[in-house]
Amino acid sequence: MPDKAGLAPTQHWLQAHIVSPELDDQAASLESEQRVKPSATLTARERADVYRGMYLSRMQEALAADYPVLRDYLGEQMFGSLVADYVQQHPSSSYTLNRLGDHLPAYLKSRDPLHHALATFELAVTEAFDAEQSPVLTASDVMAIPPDQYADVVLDPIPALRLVQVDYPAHRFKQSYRDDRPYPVPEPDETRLVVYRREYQIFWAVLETAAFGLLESLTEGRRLGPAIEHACLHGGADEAQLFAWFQEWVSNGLFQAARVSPETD
Amino acid sequence: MPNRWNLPDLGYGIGLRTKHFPHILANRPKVDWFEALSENFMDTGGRPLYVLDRVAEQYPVVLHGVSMSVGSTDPLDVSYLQKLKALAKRTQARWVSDHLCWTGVSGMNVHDLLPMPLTDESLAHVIDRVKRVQDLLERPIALENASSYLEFTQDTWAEWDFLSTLAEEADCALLIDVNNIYVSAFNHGFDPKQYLDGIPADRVVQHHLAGHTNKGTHIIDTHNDHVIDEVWELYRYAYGRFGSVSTLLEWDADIPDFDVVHAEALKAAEYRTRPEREAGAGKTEAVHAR
Repeated sequence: MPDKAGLAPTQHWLQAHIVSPELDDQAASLESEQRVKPSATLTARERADVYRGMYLSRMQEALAADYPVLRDYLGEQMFGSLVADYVQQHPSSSYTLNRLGDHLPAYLKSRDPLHHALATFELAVTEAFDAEQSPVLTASDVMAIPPDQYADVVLDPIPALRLVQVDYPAHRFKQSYRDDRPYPVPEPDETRLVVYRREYQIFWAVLETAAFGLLESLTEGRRLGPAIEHACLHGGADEAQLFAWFQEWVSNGLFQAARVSPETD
Repeated sequence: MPNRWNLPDLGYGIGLRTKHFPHILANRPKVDWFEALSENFMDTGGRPLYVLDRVAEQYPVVLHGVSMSVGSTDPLDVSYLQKLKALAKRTQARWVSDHLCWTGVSGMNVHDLLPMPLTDESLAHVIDRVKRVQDLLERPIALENASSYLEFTQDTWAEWDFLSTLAEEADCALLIDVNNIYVSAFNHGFDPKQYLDGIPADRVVQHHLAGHTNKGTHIIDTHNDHVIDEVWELYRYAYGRFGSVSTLLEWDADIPDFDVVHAEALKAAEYRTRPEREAGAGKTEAVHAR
């Protein structure tokens, strides 16, 4: 029979007392009295509850830092309920609270498309914020590639780049939050965004369907020639548009390197 | 009294916090040293790490962790320790510290500094773990006394004896948080001076100071305010016990402007030289809850 007073059982008991969504009141008080000394001012149960009472507020604080728009849009009470439910399914298993919210977009996907859109966009912002710093491909780097090899060029995206495709214009909610203006009326509007970091600042831009498709192909490692061909064929983009987009992306520092790779695809 | 590792008294430092990044980069304030929260910089390649690199170029840096979970019965997180080691090397950290606590079991992290049962079993467990951590990091670590809000019925050690024996057996350094002693003394009803008297002076390499929230029935270690007079008095007593030890002011919630935090840290210098208060004023015994 295991020693109930041993270190491991004690730790498992206290953790369960802290994170369990509901406790059997009588059993929790009884076990607290067996395991915890009362103080002059608090019962054993009240002392254990000090830790329990701080758990969810700490989780809320951490998630509110990563999802400020979602937190503000939902309000304290609704966000608090969301966090309480979410951490039951996805408690922190990392040494850092920065990873606590990684599953929130997926968690919201089947629950609320607007909330899912906001969370997806905000997670992309967080990931871009924390991504590794890298060198940036410049226009002169591109010019150094022999034109007859352009079709075989593979572009490596910077680590701090994320593509977001959601059912609501999440970026408008973010902008309203930043500007302290009322949120837009939540109407579905399929939205494609690129989120990236430059000079340690986060930027985002709305992309047309064809531009999003092309950038997605490129970031997945497709060669420039086939990627452009695909964008023209399926996205209806013309060469002038493609050139303008590409120029803008290089100028915004979305790629870190270009390499000629004739054997891929 | 010098510590046994001859780690220097870095003076009066403050915790490196995001709110102060612009001020620090723009003004390069005259601060003796900074303490960085390890976990905030281990998984980012963005602006926080950039700022830490700039700070480490200009100031002594100490790394302070909250997730080593050295007291947990879960296996040690070797990946975490390897990242910590790399960050310590990158920042040329003068030393690395964490808490005598555990933060979770069964693969979970509740992100709180949970108290250890003060038993022989716990002691043997933590001694072994601290030795393994130090072997992996290839340096001594400093363990901090955490604030606690409960005591276990199974406890057989006073915390200061537990901590001292741990430090001796594992050959680790100590970070003595004076505010935490005050908080735990209030919550558990012991004499905070007895705690300080029980700590081996040659193992103390750093002090923490912070504000807290007194709920009447208990105190929570919130780091959200100025250090109260009674804690300053206890700090003065600690100075008498341990001599000149690197001192760090923590302010983690409702963080005011940089200059306010820095000025609070510099108050420590006054308490190193100020004569003891007149009898009856701010006696540390007043913290007893029972």
